[in-house]
Amino acid sequence: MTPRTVLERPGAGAAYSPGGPGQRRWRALGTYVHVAVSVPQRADEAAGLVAAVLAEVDAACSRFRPDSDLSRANQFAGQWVSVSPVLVGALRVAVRAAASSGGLVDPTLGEVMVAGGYDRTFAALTPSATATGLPSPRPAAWPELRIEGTRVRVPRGVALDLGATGKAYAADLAALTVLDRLEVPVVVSVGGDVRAAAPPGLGVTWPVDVAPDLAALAAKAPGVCRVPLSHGGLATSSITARRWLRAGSAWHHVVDPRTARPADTPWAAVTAYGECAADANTATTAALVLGTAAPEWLAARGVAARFVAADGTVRHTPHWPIDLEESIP
Amino acid sequence: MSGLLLPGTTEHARTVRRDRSVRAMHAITGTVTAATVAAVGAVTGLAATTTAQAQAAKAHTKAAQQARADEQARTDQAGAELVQRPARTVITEHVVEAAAAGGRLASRSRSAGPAAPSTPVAAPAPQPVAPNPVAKPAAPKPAPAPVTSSGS
Repeated sequence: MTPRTVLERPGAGAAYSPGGPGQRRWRALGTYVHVAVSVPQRADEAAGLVAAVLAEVDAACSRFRPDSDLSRANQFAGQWVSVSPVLVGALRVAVRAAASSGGLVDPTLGEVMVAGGYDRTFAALTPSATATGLPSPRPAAWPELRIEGTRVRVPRGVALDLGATGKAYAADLAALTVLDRLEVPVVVSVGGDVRAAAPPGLGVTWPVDVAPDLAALAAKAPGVCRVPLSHGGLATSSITARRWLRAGSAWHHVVDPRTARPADTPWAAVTAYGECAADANTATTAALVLGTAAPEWLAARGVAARFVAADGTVRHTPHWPIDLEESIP
Repeated sequence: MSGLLLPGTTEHARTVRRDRSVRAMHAITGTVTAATVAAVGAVTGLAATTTAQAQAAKAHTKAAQQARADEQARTDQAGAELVQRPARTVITEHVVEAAAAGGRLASRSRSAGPAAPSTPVAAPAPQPVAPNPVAKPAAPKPAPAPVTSSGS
């Protein structure tokens, strides 16, 4: 698939829709994608590059494609498997996220997600997903994940799931690819994981609309705001989106590795800045898992973060640029 | 004179018989010794041959075990073949490195190669020439359209 082909057919047959000057929007990786460049004439070219990057990430990292590199690595758990450099990068990001969060963001919970009923793309999930035996909490397996060159070895008895950091890594890859090829300021959002990048001296400040989910954004619900992003990453993780029923119980996609169950958290959504989208996502995912202790935990690490509770009340860490926060017109 | 034996005397004949017996005994002893030496050599040689054969057999077994281990390793790697996808066209190695390391894109020479077989993207469109800033004041730029960061 060449980038030009991708330009003609982004995502699953969807068309790009202009979201504004220099911006394109479509769906990929089971979520929304927004791309904007500071030179509107190059928006289609940038969108084509981003679509091609996301197609490669999907081929390498999808848990729902039996032919993906990740699926093969899971299938041959306990053995060395040669994989795409794209998956190697994703696993390095996932391991870094696990290490920096003390294991709160764990890439080896695939079998928990499957047991919870999330065994196919979210769009294909049915409300009464078949209930299989839920695994018990177990010692962390991610320290046993091995990477050597372009070979990986998944610990026996577990399965990789990059649902936490995968989209953020994709946003980082996409933005850096556009910067590398087109050398224009760019911002990419993949399902809320945002990365801005620009050539030296050509920074652009992008407005980013922050919300627990798209419905809350459309309704301008409490907790929705607009913040600036000039470089690096910004991510929002939420438990109000991507929810399903498992044998009558409500599940969401943020799993607490300490309990092997959906995180029991007071936060509807957490937003954070980071050096890159993956770092920002690590902070927000860890915060949802950590729960009430999260604001102090992120503050102690110097993370600028914003918390929206289930009742709509908002908290910030001291680093959050509250003076730059705007309401959405 | 008592030590002198004269031929034809009884003493002389006895001595001659004794000497013959001694010589015969020496001959028998030598023959037996030689036979013994030969036998020992033969046994030793046979043992050496047996040892060499055992060592060869052991080496053969070890080689067979190694071959089986290699075959097992190949079987274990059955799923390890890298899938060459034509879609792998745009992501370069240094971009993967930068994204994986969580950092920014380092400046590089334009000759740096891609991580995988690549199809070049379309040539960049010519950049519009900026108006002369002295001729007239620059118009304020429209605010960029917002992107979204929400749970999805």
